[in-house]
Amino acid sequence: MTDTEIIDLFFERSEQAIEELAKKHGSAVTAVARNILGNEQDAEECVNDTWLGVWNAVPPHRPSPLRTFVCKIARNLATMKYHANTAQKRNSRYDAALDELEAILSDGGSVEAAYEAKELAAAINGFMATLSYADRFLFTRRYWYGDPLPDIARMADSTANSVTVRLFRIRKKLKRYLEKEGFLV
Amino acid sequence: MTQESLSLALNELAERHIRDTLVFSPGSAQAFPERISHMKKKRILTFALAAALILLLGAAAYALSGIPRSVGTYSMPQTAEYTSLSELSRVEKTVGYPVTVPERFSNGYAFAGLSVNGQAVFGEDLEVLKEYYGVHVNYSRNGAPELYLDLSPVLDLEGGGKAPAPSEQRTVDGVTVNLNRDQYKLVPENYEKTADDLAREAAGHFYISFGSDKIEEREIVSAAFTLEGVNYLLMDMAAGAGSLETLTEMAAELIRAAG
Repeated sequence: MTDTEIIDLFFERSEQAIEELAKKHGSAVTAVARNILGNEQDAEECVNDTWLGVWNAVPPHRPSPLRTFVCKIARNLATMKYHANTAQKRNSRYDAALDELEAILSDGGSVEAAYEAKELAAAINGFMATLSYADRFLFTRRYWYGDPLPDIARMADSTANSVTVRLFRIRKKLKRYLEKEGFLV
Repeated sequence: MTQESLSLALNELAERHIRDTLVFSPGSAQAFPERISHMKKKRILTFALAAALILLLGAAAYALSGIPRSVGTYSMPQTAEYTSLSELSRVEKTVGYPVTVPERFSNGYAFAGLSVNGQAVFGEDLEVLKEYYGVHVNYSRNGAPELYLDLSPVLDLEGGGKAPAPSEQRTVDGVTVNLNRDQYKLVPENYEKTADDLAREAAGHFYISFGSDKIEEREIVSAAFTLEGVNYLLMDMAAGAGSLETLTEMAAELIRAAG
């Protein structure tokens, strides 16, 4: 079934819409939730909440591409759950990814507390525009999707070592960019 | 900077970055400097393979609007590499279709390695239309460039476009073998297509692959056929005068082995 047909089912308020959405994009959504939460039960809850989120958003929205839209909802829900549950044992792939970013950005400077996440997001989007496609791919797969390094290497026809080195350089570039933009003092 | 503020900021990443990185798109990527020579070979292979698979899919490779769909690597859980054919039954179990891979061809080309990769056909919005396992096999012979054999399942895709005709068709034991002699122009990422490029693309069998450090052209020949629900594609990346004949003979041996 095409994405357009699935969206049409949502507009008709047919319950088959969720079934078809799960069939077509369930694996991608589950991967995002599992990477961030590192816990099957939480990931499953997050996936179910994602379907409900799509049900509430479509209509009026007619998202395109549908996969990006559902992955974004899943990531937002998963990160909310991740940060809300501070007592949770740190064991997800996302811990490692966040540790990497935090370590380089905290080294030799601290971010101005007044900056909101949205302003930082705008700076990160500006930084992304300075990167080559390959670097954008590595950054997004590691820090947005939370993919493990061997999976990223496989997707990019590279090796885990090469991806690790390349990501380190990207993080250093990000640090320089944020310093230049006045985010790190 | 707290992890939470970083995490929330990443939630606001522009949608185009999320969309563009659903799959790795080698055609628009720059080489990794530390592995540039290896990547160059792999990238053109990946690109040529994608172009050849599109031809193999025939009309189904084209959406009703006539816009070509794309084929590319896709993250799948059971990818693996094999250095011998002793585990072929395991490969068949993973990919879900019969895998005929000769140990040696009569012209001296011998099995040198096999990998099971995740692949997908993508729609106009980069949505995944079909995901499947592909089998990629390397064959080597002393003093000759490597040849490649790719296997993939015949996909049930709705389509309505008109696929380009192969360079040549031959029939071997009742099976149609499509032979293609294609020109690949490797260009830097910032290259702008010329009027000549556009005319050659429109004429067919000419592809532009972005991401090279300099402009160069290469001829690639391939032989493709379908048997028992499986697409077979033989490819020679360093085409010479006798390449088409060599691939046709190897295709005939494969057809007899798989039949």
